[in-house]
Amino acid sequence: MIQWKFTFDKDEEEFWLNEWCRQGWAMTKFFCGVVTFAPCQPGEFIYRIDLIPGRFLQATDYEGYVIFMDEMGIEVLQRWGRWTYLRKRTAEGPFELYSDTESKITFYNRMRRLFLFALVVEVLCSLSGWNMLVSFPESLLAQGLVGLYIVIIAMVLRAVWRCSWRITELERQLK
Amino acid sequence: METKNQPLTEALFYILLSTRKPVHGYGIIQEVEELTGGRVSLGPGTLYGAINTLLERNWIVLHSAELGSRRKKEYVITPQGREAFGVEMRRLRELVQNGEKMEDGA
Repeated sequence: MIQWKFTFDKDEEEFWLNEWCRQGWAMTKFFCGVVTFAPCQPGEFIYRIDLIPGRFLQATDYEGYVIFMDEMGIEVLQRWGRWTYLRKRTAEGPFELYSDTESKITFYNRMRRLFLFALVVEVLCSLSGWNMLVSFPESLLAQGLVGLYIVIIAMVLRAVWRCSWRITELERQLK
Repeated sequence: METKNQPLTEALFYILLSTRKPVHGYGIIQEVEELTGGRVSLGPGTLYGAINTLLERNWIVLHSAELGSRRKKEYVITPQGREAFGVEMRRLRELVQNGEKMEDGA
């Protein structure tokens, strides 16, 4: 089974994946928003999403990360840059990636930095679209392109905002 | 990110303690659970991040004993790590000693 999903929101996506798994569909692949599922026992796995430490889109040590997780009985299903899909068999006990508030804050900070970087890239990329729209205001291609950029930029902005909101909530817990 | 003079988080404290002998990732999780009677259960993401932080600070290093046996990585504390752990222990002792004043009523 194939589904289409593009949220840029880690918690929303995790919830969605676990919900499908409860209904007997285990996510196996992800590519550009196209999510592939295979039948499974209802609730067979717990899914988690992680962002591997690294710079921009490059994970520092992907191999090491996979071996490290493998040792814990965690399967690294798919990687999309640093954005990673993990799962563990429910029978093997609870599965939370981050166990204390400090490391949760570090995680959301890491994610926010990535989205801020994406935001800058998207805004720069959209300039050519705007340029085209100014030169050819009647062009459907230019209108479509600018429209697409606006949607993507709005989604990335929302992702940055969600990270900031979670960091604020977590910092309140520390006080 | 915390600086070197700040108190250690519970995670960093227990990870440092576990590396007094060479230990691999899952071994750290198990030992910390044992030591705290299950109260502190390190998440794999938390542990991965903490290990990287400690490696960057050179408080722990990779322990490369038998290269051929397994690809599992083992970690062990460095003299700098022991030094930082000692500083934290002194701070904690002071905390407990001062805290006892409450019970003594002095």
